[in-house]
Amino acid sequence: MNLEWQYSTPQAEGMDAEMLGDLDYFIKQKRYRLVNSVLVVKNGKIVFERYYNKYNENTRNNIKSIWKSILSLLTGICLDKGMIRSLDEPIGDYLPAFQTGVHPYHKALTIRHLLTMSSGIFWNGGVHYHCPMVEQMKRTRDWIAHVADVAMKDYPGSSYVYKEWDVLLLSAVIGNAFGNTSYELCEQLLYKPLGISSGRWAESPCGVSYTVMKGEEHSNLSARDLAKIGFLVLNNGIVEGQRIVSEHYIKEMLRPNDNNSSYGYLWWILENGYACRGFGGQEINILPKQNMITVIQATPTSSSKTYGDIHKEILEKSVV
Amino acid sequence: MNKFIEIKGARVHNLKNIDIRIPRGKLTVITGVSGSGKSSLAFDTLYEEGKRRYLMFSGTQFMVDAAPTFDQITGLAPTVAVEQRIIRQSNPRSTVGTRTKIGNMLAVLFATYGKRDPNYDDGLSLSMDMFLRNSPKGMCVKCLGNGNVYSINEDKIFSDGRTQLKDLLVERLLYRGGARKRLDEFCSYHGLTVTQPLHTLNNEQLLALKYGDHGKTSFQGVIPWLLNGFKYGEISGRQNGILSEAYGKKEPCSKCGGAGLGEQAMHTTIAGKTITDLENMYIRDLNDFLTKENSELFGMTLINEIHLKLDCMIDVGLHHLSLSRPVPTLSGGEIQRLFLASSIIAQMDSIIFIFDEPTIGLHEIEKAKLIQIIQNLVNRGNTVIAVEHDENFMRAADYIIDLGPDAGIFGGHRIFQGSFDDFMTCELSRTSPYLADQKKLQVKQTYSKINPEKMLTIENACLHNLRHLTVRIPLGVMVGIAGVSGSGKSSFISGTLVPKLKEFLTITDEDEETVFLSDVRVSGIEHIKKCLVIDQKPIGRSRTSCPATYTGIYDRIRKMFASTSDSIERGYGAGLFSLNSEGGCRQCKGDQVIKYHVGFGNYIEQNCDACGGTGFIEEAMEITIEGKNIRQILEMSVSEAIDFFGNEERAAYDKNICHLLFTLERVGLGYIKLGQQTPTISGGESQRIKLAKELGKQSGKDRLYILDEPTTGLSFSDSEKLIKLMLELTENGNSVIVTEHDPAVLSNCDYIIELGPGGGSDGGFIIALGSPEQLKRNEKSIIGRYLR
Repeated sequence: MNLEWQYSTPQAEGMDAEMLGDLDYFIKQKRYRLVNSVLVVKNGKIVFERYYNKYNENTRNNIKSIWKSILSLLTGICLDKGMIRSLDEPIGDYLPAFQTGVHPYHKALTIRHLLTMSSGIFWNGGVHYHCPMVEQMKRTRDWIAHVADVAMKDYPGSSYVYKEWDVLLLSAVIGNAFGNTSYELCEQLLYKPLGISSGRWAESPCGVSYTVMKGEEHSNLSARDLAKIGFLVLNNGIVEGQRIVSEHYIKEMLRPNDNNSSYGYLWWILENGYACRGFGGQEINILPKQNMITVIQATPTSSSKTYGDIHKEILEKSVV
Repeated sequence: MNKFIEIKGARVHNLKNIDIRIPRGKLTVITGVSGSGKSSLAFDTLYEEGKRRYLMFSGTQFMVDAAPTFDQITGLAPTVAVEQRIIRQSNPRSTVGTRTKIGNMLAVLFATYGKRDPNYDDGLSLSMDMFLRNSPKGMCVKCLGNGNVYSINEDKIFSDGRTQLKDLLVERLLYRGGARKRLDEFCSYHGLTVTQPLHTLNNEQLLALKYGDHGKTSFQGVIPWLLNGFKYGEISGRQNGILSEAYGKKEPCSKCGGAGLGEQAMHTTIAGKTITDLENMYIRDLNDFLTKENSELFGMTLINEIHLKLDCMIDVGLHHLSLSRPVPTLSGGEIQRLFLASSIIAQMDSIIFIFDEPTIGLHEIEKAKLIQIIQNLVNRGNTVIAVEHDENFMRAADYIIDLGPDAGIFGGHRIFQGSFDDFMTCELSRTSPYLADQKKLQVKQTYSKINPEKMLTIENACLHNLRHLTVRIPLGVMVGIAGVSGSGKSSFISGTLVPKLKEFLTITDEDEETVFLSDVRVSGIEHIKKCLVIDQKPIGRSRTSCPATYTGIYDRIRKMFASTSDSIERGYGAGLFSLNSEGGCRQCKGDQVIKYHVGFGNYIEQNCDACGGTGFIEEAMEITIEGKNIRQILEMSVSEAIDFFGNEERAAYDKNICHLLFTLERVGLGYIKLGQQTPTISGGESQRIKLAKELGKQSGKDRLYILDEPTTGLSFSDSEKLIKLMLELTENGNSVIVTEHDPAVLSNCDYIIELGPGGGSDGGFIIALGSPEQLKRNEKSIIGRYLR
């Protein structure tokens, strides 16, 4: 079963077409040369769609950290299907490297900590995605064992630090829970039902799905694919009458966490909705009150540009 | 070309508008009592101007002086200065290798020519960062480049279920001071009492006790508290010692084996050695190794460059260091020679070098070598100007300048300039009589008796190169620790004895990281009540700290100002007279100058307009005591201040201030200004300020004073004063342990422990023990032949 898009006009769905029409001018004015796609879904229908730089509705763009939010949905699926018993299970149950007592804190490290970026594992910020410690890990054979060796800065759950370790470990945990890679899990239980077409995610030498590495482009998605993910969450886990993720999990996923009130389970929490964010300007925004989803995609560069004002100043304000 | 550097009308600080001629291409020594103006002439006039002109010429900088400090200088060339006072402050992670850049050169060598273990060769190229433990790309992820990992024995704490919560840690440390409040809060929140035994807690409570309750209370959990305490020093030094002894372990990192580097770097070798192996070698051994393996190695240009640097370091007497040695553990003399080595490497001529007591920290036999090196610099066509007190160094000089006659306002005159021989006949100088043997340093003739019952015994001292030494140190007398550089003096005293005493006594010593030496045993501590480590680290860290703030005099002066009738009338409190409080100028924050960034990391300093360069706001400056405002008082030297505060007839009289000022004068610091800023205070001066502060307190018995080269920077006459003071301490029933090279000090000790015979791998043994008399007769002793 596939999600087939319906189409409508801004006016028909209560949006200001003229204001939306100003987008081209706005982007030119702001010199946003790297923005590739802008998409608005209102009341379940595509009402506005703009592509630049020779992009079209089928062109796939880098998803960057939107991958994190996708992993969160997959964790919910695992929980629903009983592949993992509880979010409070120690990750050592799935990753033996965390069971051998390399560090006394490891036994207290749970799946929920990974979802809330509070594993407590030492992280050296650096420029994002050029984290020197990740570079070091990438040159080892067993990435998970390497992360298990990394110094523990805080007791698990005591502080929020946005970092790659936690999602990498989560990918390994749910992959093991599923009995394959997290990509296979995603493909079978999320992408296929939604009709999303993606390549195979890259893998570490130890067989863990990961995206920010050689072969990253395989994980690229089109703007419409991203909108489907937004649509799933907006509809509390049901698409075309089919339950994909439990409502219970979605609600929990979008609840502010103890250590950061604007972050749930790998999802960002906005004043009036929820969002995915990826390096270089990737955005999915969900506004439940307006029954609206917006998607922005751009070509990431090392300068880490963002285009938050496209959604905030134009798309959101176009709602009449 | 000018044959002389001529300075006309020098008047910075206390210099009295003097004219000086310094021959170019010669070795000149500037001497005089401490505070006579030597540094003002050498560094603040010559070096500053030399630097300014050179930078102006090269166009990288322009500088405007706040006020001219001289009329004219001719004959200047590019000037390089090696000052002690500036180079003391350094990053705790910097090592000899990082400082000299030899570490980086080795890293490049390994990244380019290293042989990789096929099992770890991922086919990708190596980069230099991977061999640097301070780089996140290179550091071991487990120990973060430290080489060591801390761990806590949890079972030992939680295995006995009958233990009451408050007794969980030894000496009730979980229920003491600040920790007590937090445990109380924790218990009341979780419905527990501190007397409850451990086995009555449910799983959730136990977990919260062990690891904290996620911020519900201020209690962080026993384990995080212990771990953070070890890492960030949240637990006091004494407690840390006790707790670590009981539960903690600092072990070499199991991932990198102590190397602090990642997998790739650890499995890359050159001639069978890893970069860590090479960095742990003594510099002399490393140099020999590179020579021996010469034919096998690639990258000859790089290796030759490394050789050149290592040779220079050996020449200046640093053969006993390894590249991995942390810079903060070096002595002041060693740091200066490290810089000297890098100056020599440049192989320039026609440069003016200015040194600040280059012989500091050198054994008599090492000084000759250093003098030779400096003479080589001169022979190559450079001009060397050194501020020095050492007799042999002066004898080797081509030209002597003597400033004085005394310190502070009583100094700053040119007493002499000319050859050494002519200097001998100079009658006005305070220094020449000692050199001409007309005046001799006093040497004690009778030694205090050593009581065999009162001994401090250290067994199995084995840090760095120490050879599992067992040493008995007599108490109640003055003990000297001698030995050539690198023989193990510092490893023994500051590396072993002090940390060990720290576990048992309250030690007046700032935040030194505690090391764990579980293999070392100490006995006889019961004879000591208190131990005072008086080192050369700067006094205070803040920009506005100065001798007055450090000794506590400032507090009394502030109160004195606040209690004047003018202050009371206007409602001014003591805070108005403090730079760090209300009194500091809003513009310059009490700095007196404003720094302007002029690009490329260069700054110009200009007197602050808002406060007129006083650092204080106008209101503070309006109040006076006996006609002096707060700034004028801070500008007084100690000796001047004694006149001001010491007269019982006058309003400014203050007994306590006077007492401290007298002690400062007694340790030879009569010339130092009350408000002198910390960065301009030398290591030797800091040490004597600390000593004075301790001496100024209530005198006591059974104290142990540990001093490190206290005569650093002192002229003969000032050294004499200081020796008297140390002897007084022992006469009052205290013990003194002094690490020294100066034969004058060692001759006045009751007992000398001499380490050696060489430095580094050749050192670490005790070569002689006994009174100076005994050492003179002991053939094995090296220092013996220099004792008076």
